[in-house]
Amino acid sequence: MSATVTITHRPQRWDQPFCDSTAPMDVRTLLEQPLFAGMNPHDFPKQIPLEGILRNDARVVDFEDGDIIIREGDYGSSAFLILSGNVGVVLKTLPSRMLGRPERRQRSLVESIREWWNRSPVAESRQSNNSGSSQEVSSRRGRDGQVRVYLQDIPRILAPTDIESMKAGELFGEMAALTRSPRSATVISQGRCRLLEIRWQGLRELMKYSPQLRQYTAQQYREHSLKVHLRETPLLHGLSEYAVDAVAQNVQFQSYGDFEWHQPFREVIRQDVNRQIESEPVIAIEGDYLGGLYMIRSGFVRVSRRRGDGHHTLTYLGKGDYFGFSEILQYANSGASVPWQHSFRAIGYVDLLQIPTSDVVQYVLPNWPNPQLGTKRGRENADRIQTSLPDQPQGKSPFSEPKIDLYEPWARSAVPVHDAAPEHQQRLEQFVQLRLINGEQAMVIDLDRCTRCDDCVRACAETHQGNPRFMRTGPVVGHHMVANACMHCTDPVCLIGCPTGAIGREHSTGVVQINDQTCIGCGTCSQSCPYENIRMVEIFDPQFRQQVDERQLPILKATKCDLCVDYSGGPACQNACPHDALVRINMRETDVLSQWLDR
Amino acid sequence: MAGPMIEQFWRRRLRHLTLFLLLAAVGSLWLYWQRQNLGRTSFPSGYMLFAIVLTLAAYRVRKRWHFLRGLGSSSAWLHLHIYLGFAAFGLFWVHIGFQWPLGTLEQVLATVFMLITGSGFYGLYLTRTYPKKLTAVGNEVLYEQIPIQRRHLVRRAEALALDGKYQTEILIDFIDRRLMPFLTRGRSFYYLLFPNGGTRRALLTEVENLNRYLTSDHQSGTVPLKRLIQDKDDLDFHYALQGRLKGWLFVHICLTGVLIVLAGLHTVLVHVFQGGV
Amino acid sequence: MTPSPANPNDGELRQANVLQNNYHRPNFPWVCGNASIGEPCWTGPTADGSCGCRAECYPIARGSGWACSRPLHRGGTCSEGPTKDGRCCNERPPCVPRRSLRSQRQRLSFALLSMTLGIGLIIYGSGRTYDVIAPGPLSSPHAERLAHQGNDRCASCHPQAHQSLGQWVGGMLGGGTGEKNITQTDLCLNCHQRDMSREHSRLAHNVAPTDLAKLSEDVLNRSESSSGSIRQVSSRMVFGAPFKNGQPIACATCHREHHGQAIDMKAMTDQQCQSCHGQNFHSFELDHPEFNNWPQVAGQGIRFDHSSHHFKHFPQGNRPFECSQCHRDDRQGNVQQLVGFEQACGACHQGAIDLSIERGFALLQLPSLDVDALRASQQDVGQWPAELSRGFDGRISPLSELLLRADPEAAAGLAVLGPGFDFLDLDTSDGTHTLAAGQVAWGIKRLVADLSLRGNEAIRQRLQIVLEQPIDDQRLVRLSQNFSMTLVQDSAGIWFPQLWQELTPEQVTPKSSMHQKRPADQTNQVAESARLVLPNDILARILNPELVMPDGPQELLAENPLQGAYGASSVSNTPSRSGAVTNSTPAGSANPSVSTNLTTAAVAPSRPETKPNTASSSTTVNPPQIPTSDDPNLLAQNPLSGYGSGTDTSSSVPLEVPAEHHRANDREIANPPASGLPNKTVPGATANQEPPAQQSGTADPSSATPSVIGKSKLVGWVRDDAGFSLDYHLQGHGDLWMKEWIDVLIERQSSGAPEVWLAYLVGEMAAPDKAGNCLLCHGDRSGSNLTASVNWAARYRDPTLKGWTKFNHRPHTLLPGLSDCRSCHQLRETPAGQDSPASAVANRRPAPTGSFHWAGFSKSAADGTGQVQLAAASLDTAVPNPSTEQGQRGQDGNLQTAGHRSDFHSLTKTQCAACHQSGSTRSGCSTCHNYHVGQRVQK
Repeated sequence: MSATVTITHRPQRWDQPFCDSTAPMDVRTLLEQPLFAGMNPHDFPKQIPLEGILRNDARVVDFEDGDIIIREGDYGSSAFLILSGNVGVVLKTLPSRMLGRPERRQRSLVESIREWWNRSPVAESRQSNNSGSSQEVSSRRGRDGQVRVYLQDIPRILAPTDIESMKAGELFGEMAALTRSPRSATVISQGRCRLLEIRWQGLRELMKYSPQLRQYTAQQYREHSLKVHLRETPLLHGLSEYAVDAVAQNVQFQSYGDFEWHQPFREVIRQDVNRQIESEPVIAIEGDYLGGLYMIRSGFVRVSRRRGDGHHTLTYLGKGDYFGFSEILQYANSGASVPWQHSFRAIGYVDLLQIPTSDVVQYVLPNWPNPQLGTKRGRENADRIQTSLPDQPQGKSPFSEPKIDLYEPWARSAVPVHDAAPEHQQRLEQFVQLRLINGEQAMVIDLDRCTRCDDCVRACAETHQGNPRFMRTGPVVGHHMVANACMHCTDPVCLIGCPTGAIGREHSTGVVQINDQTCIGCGTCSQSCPYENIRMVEIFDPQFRQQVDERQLPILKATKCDLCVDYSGGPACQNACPHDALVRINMRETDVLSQWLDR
Repeated sequence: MAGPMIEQFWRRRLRHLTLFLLLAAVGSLWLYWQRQNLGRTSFPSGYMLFAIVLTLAAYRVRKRWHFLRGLGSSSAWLHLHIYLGFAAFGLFWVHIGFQWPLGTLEQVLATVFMLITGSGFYGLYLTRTYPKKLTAVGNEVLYEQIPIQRRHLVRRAEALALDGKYQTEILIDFIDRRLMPFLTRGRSFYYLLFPNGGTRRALLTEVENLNRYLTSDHQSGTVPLKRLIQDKDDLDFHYALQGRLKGWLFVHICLTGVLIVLAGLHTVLVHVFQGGV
Repeated sequence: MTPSPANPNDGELRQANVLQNNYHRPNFPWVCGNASIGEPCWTGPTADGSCGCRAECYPIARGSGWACSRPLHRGGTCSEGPTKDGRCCNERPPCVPRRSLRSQRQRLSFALLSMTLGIGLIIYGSGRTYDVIAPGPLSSPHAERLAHQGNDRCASCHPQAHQSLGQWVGGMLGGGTGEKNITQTDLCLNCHQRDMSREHSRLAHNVAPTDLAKLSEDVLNRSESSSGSIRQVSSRMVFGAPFKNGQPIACATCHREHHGQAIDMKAMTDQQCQSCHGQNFHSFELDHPEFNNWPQVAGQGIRFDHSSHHFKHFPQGNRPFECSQCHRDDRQGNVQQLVGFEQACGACHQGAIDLSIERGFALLQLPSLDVDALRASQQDVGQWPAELSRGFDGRISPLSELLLRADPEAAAGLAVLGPGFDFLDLDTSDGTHTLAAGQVAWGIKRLVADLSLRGNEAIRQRLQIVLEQPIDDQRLVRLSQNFSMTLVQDSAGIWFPQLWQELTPEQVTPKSSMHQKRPADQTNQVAESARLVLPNDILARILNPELVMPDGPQELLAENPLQGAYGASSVSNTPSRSGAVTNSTPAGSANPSVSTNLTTAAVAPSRPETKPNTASSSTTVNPPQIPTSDDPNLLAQNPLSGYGSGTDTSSSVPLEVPAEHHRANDREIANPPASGLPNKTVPGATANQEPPAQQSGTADPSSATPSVIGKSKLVGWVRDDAGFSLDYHLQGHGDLWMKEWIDVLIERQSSGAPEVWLAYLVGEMAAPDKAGNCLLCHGDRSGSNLTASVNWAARYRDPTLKGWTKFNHRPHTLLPGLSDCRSCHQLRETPAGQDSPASAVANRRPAPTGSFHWAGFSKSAADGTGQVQLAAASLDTAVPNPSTEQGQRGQDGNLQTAGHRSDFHSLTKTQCAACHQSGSTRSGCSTCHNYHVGQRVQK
C-alpha cells in the first residue's frame, strides 16, 4: 500500500535548541565566563562540542528585582550560572501561594466532551509533520521564561538573615538538576540580573568532561544548599547558626550504587532474593562499628536484619529518612559504644549525608528534642526518653526492637521480625525486590476484586484521544498486581538520558510527563524504565497512514500514563474501576499502602 | 486517590446496607399505607420501579461516557446499581402483587425484567467469586490475548521438540501425539461450563509414567513439558472463567433497551386504560 | 519482569505479552481476523473494519539490495530480509477483521431493540393489538358479554381505547385525552344502570356525603364504642389519602378487572372495607358490636300475631303450631315463601268469611217507596214496582249510592239524606226529604237505565266522575267482574216496564265532568312514577304521606319471577278459577310457579258439590286472566316486569294488582281489546265445560246467570227479582271484585278526599265486621283508623331495595341444628287476653332503643339511603318520625316495621358467632353487609 506512509523529517538532537535565539556572539561572550574559561574545549568529543552545548543546552535569561528564579520544592531540570547581578537564596520556606505557582489548566466538561467527540478512530494518530514548530513548546518555555512571578515588598516578608546572596560567576541549582531531586530552596533575583540557564542534559555533559566543574559543584553544595538541607531536617531543627556551620563542615557526601542502576536491573531482579540483597551495596551492616548519623538525600535504603542464613527486610527508607540516630543516642546515654542494630543497603542509587557521631553528640543531642520539632509523637518520644534514660541497664544492649520506634520515625512501619505475618513479609520483600517502592503513583490492582472488565483501560483510552496509556499486566504480588502504568517514581530513571528533555517532571505535582511534540522516539526512556511502563508506539496520521521518515523508518513516540493531570477527579483508571479494585497509590506511604492492601 | 484513611469493606457494606434497609422500610410502609386507603399501589410502585430501572440503566451511560465522571466514581455507581437492583427486584413483586401477570405484554415485560434481574444476580455472584479463583490459578492473562498465549505455548512446545535433549522418540511421540493436540485445540463445551483439572492431571500422570522409559538426563526434559501442560490448563481456565465474566453481560445489558421500551409502553397503556376514574 | 514467587509460571506468559509489545486496546470495535489463531498483525484493522494489515517493514534501499527496517520493539530486522524486488518478506494476506466482544454485544442489543419495535409495529398494524395489551382475561360475565365485539371491545370499558398511540402518549403527557368527560364508571353504568343511578354511583355506599356524614355521626354518637375513625386522621397525612371527604369512588377502585375468568369481582376483603371504616374489626366474633334488634321483622302485611296464635288459638284448637305450615322454602331456600290463605288460615277463618259473604253485595237494591205519599208531596217517581210501593223501607246499597253520586240530581238528594240512609226514617212531612227521595228514586231509575244501556262503561264513567280518577280497562274488568248489561236489561224490563217511556237515553247518562282517561295518559303517568327511584326518593315518600311506597313481591324476582305477584294472586284466586287453570293449561302445571295453584286446586275438592256450578259459573270469571296468568314464558321473558310495574304504580294497591296489570298489558299486546270489555273470548270456560251440552250456553253469558242456583252457593252476579236487587256474590277469600272496590275507595280516600260518605262507604265495604271481614287481617296494623291503607300481601319486601345487611336462610337451614326455625326465632310471650290480632296490634309498643349496629363510619360519604337507614334505625329506637307508617314498607328485612315490635326475640351476636368465626366459617364484613345500599333503578 503506497498511500500508507507520509514522508517527514526525522527529529535530531538539538532540533529543538533550549534557546531559540542564541546568537553566536553570545556563545563567544559566554566562553569568556570564568567557569567555561577554565574548561578545555578539547576534553569534549567532537560531536558534542562545548559551543554546541552552550548553544543548544543553555540560554540567557533576564530577571527583574524580586523575580522568583526557582521555587523551593520544584523539580528543576536545569542549573543557573549568574552572568551579572545578584541573586538571593531564601533560607526559609515560603508559602506556595506567595511563590505564585501557576495553576494547572483543567479541562472543562464541555472540552472533554468535545475531545471525546473528536477522538480519532485511528490508534496513535497525530497530525503529520508536527515535530517542527509547536505552540506547546514555546508556551511551555514561556511558563518557565516569560511568565514571571515575583515577590512584592521583600523586606516585609524576609529578614536580611533569611536571604543569602550569590554573586556573578556562581552556579546554582545544579544539585537538584543532577540528582533529579526537588529544588532545596527558593532563589530570587536581587535587583536585575542576567543568568545562563543550562538544562541538565547539558550540565551532565559539562560535568562529565570537566573535572573542575565537578569539584566546584561539590564545594558549592557544601557552602549553600547543604545548610538549607540541614535546616530542613527535622532532627536538626533549632540548631544554632554556628552549630549548623560546624556540622556542615564535617558532613561527608556519600553515594552508593550505580547512578544508572536500572541498566543491570532486569538481570538483578531475576536472582533469588537473598542473593540480590547480598549484591546490594552495603551502607552499614548490623554489628559493625557505628559510623555516624546517615541522612538520605535521594534513593532508597533497605533496612534488614540477618535471620538465619538469610536477610529479613523490615522496611525501606527513602529521601528525608535518617538512621543511626538511636544508636548514637544510646551510646551517648550509656557511654558504651553501640554497634549497628540493622543492616542498611542501597537499593539502586543512593545519595547520603553522613554526620560523624561526635558532631551528633556535640551539636545535635543537646538541642534534641526541641519544642519546634512539632509532632506530638516527637514530644512524647522525648518524655519517654528522658524517663527511660536513667535506668538503662549498663552493658547489655538496650536495643530490643520495640524501643527503636522511640527515636526513628521510619521504624514505625517496620515490622518486627517475629511479628511479621508471612504474606505481608512476602509482599514487602517483593515490593522492595521489584523496586516497586519507587512508585509514587503506582497502579495497584486487587486481583481478588478485579473482574478483568478493562473499564480502566477504556477510561484511560478515552482520556487520551482513544489511546490507552497503560497495560493491565504486570508483576503480581500476592493477590495484587502492580500494573504496567507509569508509577511517577520518586527516582525517575526514565528521565536519564532523554536527549531533548521531552520527558520531565511536572513542577508542582511531580508527575512525569512526556512532551509528545519534542519526543524524538529514541526509546531511551522506554529502555530505562525498569518497569516497562513506557511504550514506544508507531504513529499514524488521521487517515491511518503510518508516519515514516525519508528512510522509510517508522516514526516512534514514547507514551505512558500522565495521571490525567489535565482532568479533574484524579486518574481516569481509578475513577472508572467499578469494583474498587484499582488504586493509584504512593508506595512510600507504607501505612496507607498496607491499609489499602489489607482492606 | 487513596485517602489517608482507607475505609474497610465491611464497614462500608454495613453503612450502605443499613441505609438501604431504612429506605426500603420507608418505601414499603408508604405503599402499605396507600393500599390501606384503597389506593392503587400499582401506580406509585410502578413509577418507583420505572425510575429505579432508568437509574440502573443510567449506569451504563455513565460507564460509556467517561467525561461524565463528575457524576461520581464508577464504583459508587455500581454500589447504587447493586442496591437498587435488589430494591427493584423486591418492588417488582410488590408491583405485580406477587402473582405472575396474565396479559401478554405484561408477561413479556415481566419475563424480560426477570431475565435482566436474574442475570444481574448471577453476574453479582460471578464478579464476587470468580476473581479469587482466577487469582488463585495465577498466570494472569488478558482475555483477548489468550489465543496469542496459546500460540506462544505451541511455539515453546515446538522449540522443546527441536531441542537436543528431547531427541528420544518417546518424548517426541508424546509431544506430537498428546501434547500438541492439547495445546492447539480448545476445550470442550462441558469444560467451559464446568472447568476442571481432569485433563491436566491425566496428562501429567502420563508424563510421570513416561519417566520409566527415559534415561536420567532425558527425565529432566519432562519438567518443561509439565510446565507447558500446566500453563495451557491455566489458560483454558482463564478462558472459561473470564469468558463467563463477560458473557453474562450479553443478557444483562442487551435486554435493557427492550425492557425500557416495553416499560414505557406499559406506562402509557396503564395510563390510558386505567380504570378507577 | 520477574516471576513473582507466588506464581512461578507467570514469567513466560507475560514475556509473551511484552513480546507482543503493544497497548491492548479494548476500546476498539474491531479485532484482527488472525487474532483468533494468535497471530494478530501489528497494526490491527482500520476504523471501518477493513483489514489495516501492512508489511512488517518498508525495506530500505541499500546499494544494490534492500535492508529490513523493522523497528526494534517489533523484533528488529528480520533474518531472511526483504525480497529481491524490495518488498517485506512476510507480507500477509489481508484478514477479515472480527468485531470485538463489546461491539458484538452492542449490535445484539440494537438488534433486540429493533426487533421489539418491529414486532410491536406488526402487532399494532394487525388487528390483534388488544389481545396483546390486555392485562389479563376478563371475568367470565364480562368476557361473555364482550365476546363478539372483537377489537373494539376495549372501548366498551375504556373511553380512550379507540384513540391512536400518538393520542395516548399526548394524552398521558398533556393530561387531556379529549375523553376526559367520559369516565370508565360511566361506561360501567351503561350496562349496570339497573344497579344504581349514575348520580349516586360514585358516592361511598351510593349515599350523599352529607347524609352519610350525618348518619355516621349519629351512629358514632349512639354507639358505646365511638372510637372515631383512624382514616380521618390518616387522610390528612402528607401523602394525601386516595379518598378524601366525598371524593368520588370509581367502580374499579374495588372491582378490579382483568384478573382472570374465575375471579369474583364482587368479592371484597375486610381490609377494603376498613380502608374507610376507621374502627378496625379484627374479627367478627371478637369485636363486632352486639347487634341490636336484628333481624327486625320484615314488613309484615297482615295483622298476624304469631304469639297469640302460638300460645292461644292453636292450643285451643288442639293443633300444633308449626312454622312450616305457613313458611315454605322457596327454591332459593329462603324460608320466606308463604303458603296461601287456604292452607294457612282457611281452616279456621274460611268459615267466618263464608258466613259474612252469605248474602252478596248489592249493586242495585230498589228501596220500597210510598209512591202515594210522594205524589202527595208533588214528587212523581213515575212507574215504580208495585211490590215496593206500599211504604218507605230499605236502604240504598253502598255501591249504588256510590254510582248515584255521579248523577247530580241524585247526588243532591243523597246529600240531603246523608250516607247509608234508611227510607224507613223518611220524614214525609219534610219537603226537602221527599224531594230528595224523589231525586234519588229517579236517580236509581236512571242508573238502572244507564247500566242496562251502557253496562261497564256506565260503571266506569260514573266512578270516574265520583272518584275523580281514571279507571283503566283492567280495573274496570275487575270492578265489573264480567258484569253484563243484559242482566240489567232483564231486570229493568221486569222492574220498570215503562222505563224507556219515562226516560230518554240522553237523560240517563250523567254529563261527565272529566272525560275518560285513555291508557295513553296512563302510560305517561306510569312514566312519571317510573323515574329513578332513589333512596332519597324513598325518603321523600316516607316523609310525605301522599306519595305511597310501591310494593314489591316477596322475593327478588330475579330469583323467582312468579313468586310474589303471580303466586300471591293465584293463591287469592277462586277455587273454580284455579280449577280452570289446572284443567285448562297443562303448561300451567308444568310451570313450577303455579305450585300455589296446585295447592288451591287441592282445596277445590273440599266442596265437591259446588263443582258443576262453579264450572258453569266459571264463565263469569274474567277469562282473560287464565291464559295470561299462567303463561310462564311471558314472565320469563321479562323477569323484572312483574314487580317492575309493581313499583311503577303509585297506588297503594297490593302487589298482585300491578302484576296483573302487567300480564293484562302483555295480553293486550298479544290481543288488543276490541272494546271497553275485551273479555268476550272464553277459552278457559270452553276448556272446562264439563257437559259439552252447555257449550251453547257459554255463547251468551246472560244464560249463565242461573236464578235457580242455591243462594248460599251463588258466585258472581245474581239477579234477585224477588228482592229487586242485583247482587254480586263473593267467590270467597281473595275475591278480586271486592278487593278492587275497596282499593278504589281507599285510593280516593288516601288521596285526601274528606267526604263523609266516602268514609261511610269504605266502612260499609271493608270494615272488619262487614261482609268479607277483609280489613280484619288486611287492615292497617295500627288498627286505629281504616283510612290509611290496606295490606293485601302477607309480607312486604322490596327486592329492589338493598340495605346494610343481607341474610340467606338456605345455608343455615341446611344445618341439622338450625333446621328448626325456633332455634333462631324465639317467640315472645304475649300477655294473655290479647287474642285478637287487632288488640294485639293495638298493644304493640315501639321496640327498645338501640344503636344502629354498624358503627364507626368515617365521615367520608353519605346519601339519602343513609338517612333512610338512619330513619329506619331511629324507627326502632322510638324516635317519633312521620315516616313511621310508610317507613315499614318497602324496606328490606333488616329494617324494623315501624311502630311494631317483632313477635320474635331479636338474635344476638353470640348465636351467629357460634359458627361464624374467622377461620372456620366466612365471617368477613361482606358476609352480612352490603356496600351498595339503596334502590335498584327501574326502567
